[in-house]
Amino acid sequence: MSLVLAVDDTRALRSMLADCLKKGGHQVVLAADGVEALDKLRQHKPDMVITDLNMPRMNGLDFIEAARREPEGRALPMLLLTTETAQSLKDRARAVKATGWLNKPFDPGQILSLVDQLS
Amino acid sequence: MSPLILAEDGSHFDHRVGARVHQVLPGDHLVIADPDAAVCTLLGSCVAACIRDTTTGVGGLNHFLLPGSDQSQSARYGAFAMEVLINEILGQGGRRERLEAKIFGAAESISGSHSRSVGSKNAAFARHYLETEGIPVVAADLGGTSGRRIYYFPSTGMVRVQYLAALESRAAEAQEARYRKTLGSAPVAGAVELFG
Repeated sequence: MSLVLAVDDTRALRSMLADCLKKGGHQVVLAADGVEALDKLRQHKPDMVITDLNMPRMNGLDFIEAARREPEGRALPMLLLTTETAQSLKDRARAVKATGWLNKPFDPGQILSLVDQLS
Repeated sequence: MSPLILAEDGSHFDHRVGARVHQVLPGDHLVIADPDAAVCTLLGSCVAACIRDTTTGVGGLNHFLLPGSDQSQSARYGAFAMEVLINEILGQGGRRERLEAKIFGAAESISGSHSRSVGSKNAAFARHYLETEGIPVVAADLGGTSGRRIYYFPSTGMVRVQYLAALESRAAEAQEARYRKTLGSAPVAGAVELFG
């Protein structure tokens, strides 16, 4: 069982992700943007992060970049889960040391096997 | 029928509304920031959510359906269709708190090609999603047995709805059925890439 921090500004997506992870036996902490996610990261020390890219206040790429500077985030598996497909954004994700990139819509089986594999 | 002359951006002049019109096909979406143009789509049992920023007038519509009987899989697909539209509006300077929506479509089958509940499931999903996200639905025209042609002018929020005659309704339904088939054969999931 892992503690997963799931970050998305869309309420519907947050609740679908939480359902999926809980059904897989994991615990979930939710955040609606990068600023909130950084707080939750320090507070809860999750085993893994799944984050959206486009979000208000702080987007997923900036969040990962900031999280890598935190002791809790230095070696943490952090996946982007996004509707974006542009190579330039994937390159940026690699540069800020994201662990991987998933495109929406997500498949619950795929999410759960990635959590098992990475966390 | 006169030949359709497409402009470079894929739009054409539509005499029915006296404006340049961008056509959206099932499964697709489009956002425009052009004060004089409209986005148009032909709806059977699918739903189109027309969303815009009420201050900047940037907006557009999607044309989606919930692909299957598996409810949570369908919801993920529907949520994806809504999110790509909203993200594109936000990406062009829209603000979430200024968004408004109008929803159309969800006709019951004319030809009996799908069960009665398909349209209403699509409609219920759109309403629920928008309510959850706090985006007000300021107008809706859903259900019935006729297909619809929707013209949406995001700059003003104006919508022209034309109810289709039986023959055109069937054509809209057939187009959506082809789209549904492609969804049925493709897995409802995106690609994964792990960075080494």
